Amino acid sequence: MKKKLTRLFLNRDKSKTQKIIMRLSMFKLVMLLSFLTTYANVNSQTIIGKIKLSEVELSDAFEQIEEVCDCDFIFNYNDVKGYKVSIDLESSSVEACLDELLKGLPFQYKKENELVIISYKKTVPVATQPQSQQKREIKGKVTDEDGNTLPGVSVVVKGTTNGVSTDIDGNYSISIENENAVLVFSFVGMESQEIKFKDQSTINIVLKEDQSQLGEVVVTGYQTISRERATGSFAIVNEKVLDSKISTDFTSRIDGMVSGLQVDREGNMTIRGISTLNASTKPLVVVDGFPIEGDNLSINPNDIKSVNVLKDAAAASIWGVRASNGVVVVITKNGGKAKKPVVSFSYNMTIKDKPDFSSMGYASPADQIDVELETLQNGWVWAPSSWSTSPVSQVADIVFGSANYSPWSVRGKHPYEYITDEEKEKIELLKTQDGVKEYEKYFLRNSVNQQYNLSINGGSDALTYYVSGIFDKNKESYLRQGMDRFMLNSKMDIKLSERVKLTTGVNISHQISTSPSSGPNDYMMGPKYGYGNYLDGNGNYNPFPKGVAQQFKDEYAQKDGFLNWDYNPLQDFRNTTDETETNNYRILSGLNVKLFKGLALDVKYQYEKFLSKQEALYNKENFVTRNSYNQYTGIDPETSNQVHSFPYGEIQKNNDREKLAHSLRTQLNYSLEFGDHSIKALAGWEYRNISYSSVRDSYVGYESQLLTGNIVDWKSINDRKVPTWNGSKYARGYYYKGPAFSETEERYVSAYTNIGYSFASKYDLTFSGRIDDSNLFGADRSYRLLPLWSVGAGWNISKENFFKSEKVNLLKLRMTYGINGNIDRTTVPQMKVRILRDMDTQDIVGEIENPGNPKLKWEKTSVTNLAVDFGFFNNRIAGSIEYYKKISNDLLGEKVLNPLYGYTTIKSNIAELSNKGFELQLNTTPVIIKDFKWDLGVNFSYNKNSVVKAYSDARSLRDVIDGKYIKTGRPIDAGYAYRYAGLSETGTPLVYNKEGEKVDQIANVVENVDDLKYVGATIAPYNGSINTSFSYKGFNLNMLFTGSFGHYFKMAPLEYNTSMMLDFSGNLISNEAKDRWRKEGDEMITNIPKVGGSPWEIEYDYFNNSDYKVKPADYISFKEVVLSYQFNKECLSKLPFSSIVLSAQARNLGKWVKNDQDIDPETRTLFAYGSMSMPTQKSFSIGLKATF
Amino acid sequence: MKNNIKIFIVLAAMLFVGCDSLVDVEPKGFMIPQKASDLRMMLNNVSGRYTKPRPVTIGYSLIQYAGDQTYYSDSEPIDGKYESVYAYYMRDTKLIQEHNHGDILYMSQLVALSNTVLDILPTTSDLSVAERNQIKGEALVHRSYAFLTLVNIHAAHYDKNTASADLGIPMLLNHDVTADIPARSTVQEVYKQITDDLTEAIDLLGGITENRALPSKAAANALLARTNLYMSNFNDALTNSENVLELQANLYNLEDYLTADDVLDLPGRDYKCEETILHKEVDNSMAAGSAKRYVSAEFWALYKEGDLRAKYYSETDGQYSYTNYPYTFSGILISEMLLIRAECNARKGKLALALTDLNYIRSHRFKAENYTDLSSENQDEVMDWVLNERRIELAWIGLRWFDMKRLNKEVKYQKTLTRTYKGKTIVFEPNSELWVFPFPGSILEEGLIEQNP
Repeated sequence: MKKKLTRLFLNRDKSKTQKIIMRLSMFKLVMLLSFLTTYANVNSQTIIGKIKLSEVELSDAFEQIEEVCDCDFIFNYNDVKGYKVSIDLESSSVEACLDELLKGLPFQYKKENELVIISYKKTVPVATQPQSQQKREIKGKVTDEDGNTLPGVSVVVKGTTNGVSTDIDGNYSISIENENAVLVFSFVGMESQEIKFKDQSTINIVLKEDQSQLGEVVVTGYQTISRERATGSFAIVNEKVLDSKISTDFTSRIDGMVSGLQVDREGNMTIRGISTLNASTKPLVVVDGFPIEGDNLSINPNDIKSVNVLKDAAAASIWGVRASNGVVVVITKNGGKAKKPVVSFSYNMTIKDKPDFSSMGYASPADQIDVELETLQNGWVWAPSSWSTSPVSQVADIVFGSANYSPWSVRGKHPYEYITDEEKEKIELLKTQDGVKEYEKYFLRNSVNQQYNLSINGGSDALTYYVSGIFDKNKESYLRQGMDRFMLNSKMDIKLSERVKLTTGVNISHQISTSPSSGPNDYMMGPKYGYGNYLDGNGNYNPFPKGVAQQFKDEYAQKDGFLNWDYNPLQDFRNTTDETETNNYRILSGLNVKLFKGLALDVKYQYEKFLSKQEALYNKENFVTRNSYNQYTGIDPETSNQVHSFPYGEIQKNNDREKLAHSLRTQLNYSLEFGDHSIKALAGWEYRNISYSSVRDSYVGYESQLLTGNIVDWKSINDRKVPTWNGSKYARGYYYKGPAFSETEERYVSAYTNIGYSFASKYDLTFSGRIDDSNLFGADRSYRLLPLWSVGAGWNISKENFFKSEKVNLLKLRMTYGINGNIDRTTVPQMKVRILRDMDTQDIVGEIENPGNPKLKWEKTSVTNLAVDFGFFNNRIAGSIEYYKKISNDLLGEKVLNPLYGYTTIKSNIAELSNKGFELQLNTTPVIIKDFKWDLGVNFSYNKNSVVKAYSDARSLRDVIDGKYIKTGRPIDAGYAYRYAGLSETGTPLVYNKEGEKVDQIANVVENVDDLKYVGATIAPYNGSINTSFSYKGFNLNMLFTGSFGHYFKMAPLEYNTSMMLDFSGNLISNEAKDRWRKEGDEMITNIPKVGGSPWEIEYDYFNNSDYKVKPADYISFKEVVLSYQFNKECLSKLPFSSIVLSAQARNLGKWVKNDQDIDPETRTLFAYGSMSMPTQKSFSIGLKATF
Repeated sequence: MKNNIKIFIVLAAMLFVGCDSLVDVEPKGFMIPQKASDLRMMLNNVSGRYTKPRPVTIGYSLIQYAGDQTYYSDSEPIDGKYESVYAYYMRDTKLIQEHNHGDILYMSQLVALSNTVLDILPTTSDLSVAERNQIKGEALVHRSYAFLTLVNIHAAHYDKNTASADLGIPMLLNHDVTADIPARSTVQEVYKQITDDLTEAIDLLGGITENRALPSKAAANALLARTNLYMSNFNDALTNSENVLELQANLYNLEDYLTADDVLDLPGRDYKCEETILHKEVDNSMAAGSAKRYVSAEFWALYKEGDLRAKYYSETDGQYSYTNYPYTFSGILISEMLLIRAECNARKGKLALALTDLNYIRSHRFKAENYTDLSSENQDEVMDWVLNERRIELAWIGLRWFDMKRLNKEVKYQKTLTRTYKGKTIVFEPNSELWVFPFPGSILEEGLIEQNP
């Protein structure tokens, strides 16, 4: 409501925005009061003192009267412009004064309590008019979409001067003469509506918000300021955009809508690239004025009214150190002032395709087996024996098990030259069994997410409320993986008295996530077996290699006292459960007290509790339990009896986490106006306490049905002093490290201030400052205290008299400069020692956690932001261009240390970094024809980061390749690679050294950083998005395209399975393998190295980390398309709904990539050697939203 | 107005509540070492957690494999852990880097811990004088252990004629990680630091402790005995070893630990082991026993009939690998002191004394039915027996490489080592610079820490 009314007076010449806002809040209160108080005593006359004015603008006169009486005036500046008045009264009532003032002017007033509404005098029918019978009286009421009445709406007969304004209840009445009259309803901030007169006697109108003018108010979380006065860098995503999309979280709804904000596939946000090397680049998420500690899923996306993104130093200087990555301010919906409760219900369902691993570039099972057979031919793999009980692949098992196999005589022979035909057939059969397909078949499904949402809002003058409930039921891509979420949100604003307002909010969320994957059985990391069917013809589980070689498993499973030892991925997948229950409570209360004119006190308190309980259960069918039991089954040498040191039963692992946060804030808001000057200031004090605790423990010999556990001699098992299956005194099995406790507490005390000064609405100056103190362990105060500040200036050129242009609605320059800071809470200048219990001696001992760095300084970043905001042709073209420059001195990061210090890395100030960039945000409406409207939005951002000075040096080439090398003049995320020179005559990879000679890793070693080539950065410098919408009547079609350009990624490494060990650690062989070097001469036609004989023979590293593997990561993605239809009012008049919206959404429809391999660059980076994530699947949603 | 004033008072009070008291909270589970008792806790960190290398007791694993006790045929696959020794043999700097600086880092961690204790202790005032002396003494012993190991790996063996010119190792003597790395000291300087520190530690430390991971007077003497032996200060080494053996000289009789299945079941060689004077062990992941190791035929031939120590080995395809017993140990044993005393006595011609110690060890290692006392009047023969007994008794502790370097200084004990790897053969002539292992590239500093040739 406030938002719309703010704009009531925007066109006024000498607008004093500040004052208007102040008055509006009063106006709101008064209006609320007027709804219910029927006893309102209109006769109580306010006597004002002496008032003398001569030849002043009518608007000024109103203001002067306001000063002396306790009234607020509502009027339209444009209407009263140009009327000069004089008045000289000794002592009179307001009414008398106004009567005098408006005498002879076309205005009337209506006074209700402290509110005075000025409107045009109603056109009084003139009796002598000849066609008086044609005069028609039309009455009606004007409301907004939420059903709130709108006072002061101008109602004019088109083409005439005949017009009225609506009264405080939104009612109007106008008489018209012309049968063909068209009524124009207009209100600042709302879209104008024209209604053709067709004999109605009542015309009720619902005005819609003018979307092109939205975002005029910026919420920083500490204050709400008009965009007009804002000098910082802000972006706003409004309710309409947020509500048009379907998702479980809110972050995917703002993806592509804000330039400079990137949302990755997991929903993590980053703002303006890397400005800190800290592990977290996440912006601070603030909900209704306080940062939240729970994750973003604890916010119901349907409850969000708007999201404000604060990008520059102004954000950090008000939010403190935690805001160095920017701030995302979430404002939730409030109760309406409607008399009747508004009920809204929505349902949506999203179906996402089954993940497709065919795009991951794995070799076919036949190719994988060919590579294995070649490895066996090279003869470097050893059959399992008593000294090496590790398992080998199914193919190797067949070969080693062959009667014709002997380690020495078969060397150099292809296994097919000596194994029997029957064995060959077994291998050929395996070649037809695609492990990736098996994985997809048994582990994956289409995911189905369903969401039900119900909200009720309403209220009276004394109380407004908003209550919502959401229920999500997600069936995720993996079988038995799912998420159920329930959230309840309740917000209430209570007016205790004219001066005191109480705000309360309660948010409860309950979530249960289930997963078939946990700890050692991470089935969600992708397929680990390239071939082999999970089930045999009879539906029994086929054995797969894991843990101990199959020959021993078969042998021991026959013996008494041993359990079946076979491993099968599907069996394990079906017998692992991992359930996490999360409860999140957030309770907010706030008190706003108006102290005296211009000064208000705000006290807010938030309590947040986050509880998470994770239980992973491995039942008796699970390999983990059977393997642990068998491993620790052996013969006691003293008694010669078989003993089981590990109890029979299930294993349960528990992980309980708790977060508790208290925040208390006391703030004074002050505003002052005199003449053209306006000052708005706030100062406050804040205390914040966040504590985290967790307990991790395991139970073995557990019976989940009986609820019994068992006692285990962990010490003996860990000391390897108990007999094990093969008689050796050690077994690699289940290690128990005892319960692990952790508890930390963070406390912050902060003081902050923000001062804004505005002159004549054209010039704005802002200052913002904050100082944080916290319980940084052991650090003295000079290190702990962080003063952050920013200054800003704005110049609204379009308001200058010399500039006045009809075509330009807005032209504004603004700039900020400020200092951001960051400290690393994990490091202090002093040495930090962890206290723990020694595993052997059971003493309480100390272990150096962190050596301390006496020269450590906090990270300081100066941020400059320059921007132009513009709006042309009635805001048909609007947007902003921003330029920023961030210079980070003393950037904190992991400095690679000489190992002689006794530590490999230390948190240190390692670099000076500069980030420069610009952002363009453009919203246009190229076409409006009658009911058809086309909107087009373009966001584009460019960020160049460059190391100004590096204080850290890589200590090995490995560090360089892993991205730990920071070099002056290069981006902070620079990647380096070997310069690939193809293959040698023997099929081993060659690289160029810095002299340009081809070298291999045996003869000549590349050991200098200069031998490597800089191959680009892993984070895209260019990001852009285009969102466009077409609307026709109730139809609306939205499309979103996003793109990232100028960055690079490294393709998956080639990893031949040279040890024949198949386990959950490696990747499958990539399909490059089929083009590998096989014989002399192949080096002319291929770049893919041969299958090595021994692990040392070939340095695959030279190939995998060469520029051959580096590809451009540029892409354009067709991210989203949403089609919706809103039933119009006429259709629904007979139904109990006031609005129904149907929508259909599709996401991730297609992606254009620059690399020739057609690899989704979002699945890889330059550094993530060996690890990759799944490509994003297409998803389709349908939704329904009904309002009653 | 009255209310406003009240609110103001409350507000002002809130603003000026001592901020210190709000942020003054002791975190749980952590400390900043400020008291001697804190340092005590740090030195008690024997095994810490299994996830990290053992802090106080960490030993040096690379040297376990180096020397003539191992056999490796270039036509077989090599284990990654074993490969690291060959990386050093072959001076393959890339491979060395890949096998990382694990060992040199562990030794440096021990130095860093000792330096931390030595730097902070003077600023504290709690605990008794004896307890404070113990803390300082322990730190000095730990640091000396690390320096002695590193200087013998990465520098020429101590030779009093050249030691003041031979480049040793960089010695960090304080715990400030922002201070510059010092240049390489000479071998002479390193040995002086070690002998000075250990001499001081002997005076500070109390007698032998039950927890052998905590250095004692005996441990300081034992390490000094080893140091003096390497410096060929046989008189001093003799005195030091005698000082140890006065405190403790018990050995297990292996035959007492034979099970019915003819398997040795000894008490673990851990921090409580009574045969140990100073407990150190290598990181398990790096240890020799955790993978297939072949024992050279020449070395295997030293084991005589009835020597129960042969039971530490397992046989596969006619090859013997060392897997069964304390392959992770790399500290100081009582038997090392007996052998030092025996060697010093033998060198002085006190053959009877030498044989007494030798036979004392052997009688505890053999089956009684196979055992006979050695006796000889021939000094060379006794010396050979002592040196061979060192190889058997102290096998896999990581001392053979140092002994080979040391004995190469004496013409009659010189030995040439030949190693073939990836088809390339390298010959270690006695006293050649190949015996000095290169540094991992990660520790080199231009102009300060030069690579070995």
